Amino acid sequence: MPEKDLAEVQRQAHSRMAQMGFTFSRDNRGFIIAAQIYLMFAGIGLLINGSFLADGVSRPAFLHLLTLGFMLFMIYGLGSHMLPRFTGNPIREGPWPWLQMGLAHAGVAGYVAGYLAGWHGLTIVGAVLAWLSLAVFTFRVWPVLWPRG
Amino acid sequence: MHKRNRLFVSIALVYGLLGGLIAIVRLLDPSLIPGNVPRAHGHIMLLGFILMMIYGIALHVLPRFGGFPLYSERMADWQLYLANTGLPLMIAGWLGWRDMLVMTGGLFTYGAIVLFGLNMILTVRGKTGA
Repeated sequence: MPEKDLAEVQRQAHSRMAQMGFTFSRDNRGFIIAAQIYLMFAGIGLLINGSFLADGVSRPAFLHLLTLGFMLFMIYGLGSHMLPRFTGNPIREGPWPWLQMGLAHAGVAGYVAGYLAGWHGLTIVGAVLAWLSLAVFTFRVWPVLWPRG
Repeated sequence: MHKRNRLFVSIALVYGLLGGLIAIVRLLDPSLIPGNVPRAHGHIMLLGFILMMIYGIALHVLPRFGGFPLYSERMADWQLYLANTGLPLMIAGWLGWRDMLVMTGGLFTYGAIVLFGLNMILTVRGKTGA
């Protein structure tokens, strides 16, 4: 098949999948992309310390780049995409996913920067913001799992 | 989605919030919560949040992706009971400095892990159910 025709077939297939709801929404795509970026940042900890669990002041920073930055963001992106499809119940949309994303980014950045810079207050603010993002995610997903009526 | 699998996901979210809260309190004042708080936090997040989330999602999708029904619903039910008996015992053990509780909880948790692993292997291989 000529390259031009192949590109058109791919575009049509993507459009059909998007219309059927198979493909990621913009917010979930953002969560998944951010997770990969945080994973690459977390990997720098391996280069510096030789282990995610090595002793040292930067250990919590790199460990939480992996757990909060990568794992949590993957759960956000995949959970928000899959759970409504598994249950047939809608997830809370509108500003909520963007609030969740903003809190999560600010939380990870604040926590990591706080640890690396030795600013305890910033670490606490980052942890609280990351926790709030999980609270927003729970608020969004709960009616998906346990719909009223 | 089976009620048990929705319970796994819901409990995972609760553990995630609990584990995060414990860590925040510890950051604010390390003396407020007694016991080995970092270890409790780490295991609440890994065994409570991440693993329970994986349990809930995997019990739903792997049978579908594998093309066979779940090998044993009963094993999955017992996995839920064991996992949620084991982790609270482990948490109580770490916060109360009781090694016996940690060990007992660990055995329950391991039982859940084995049940899940066997159930998934037998499901994906397409064995007839129990």
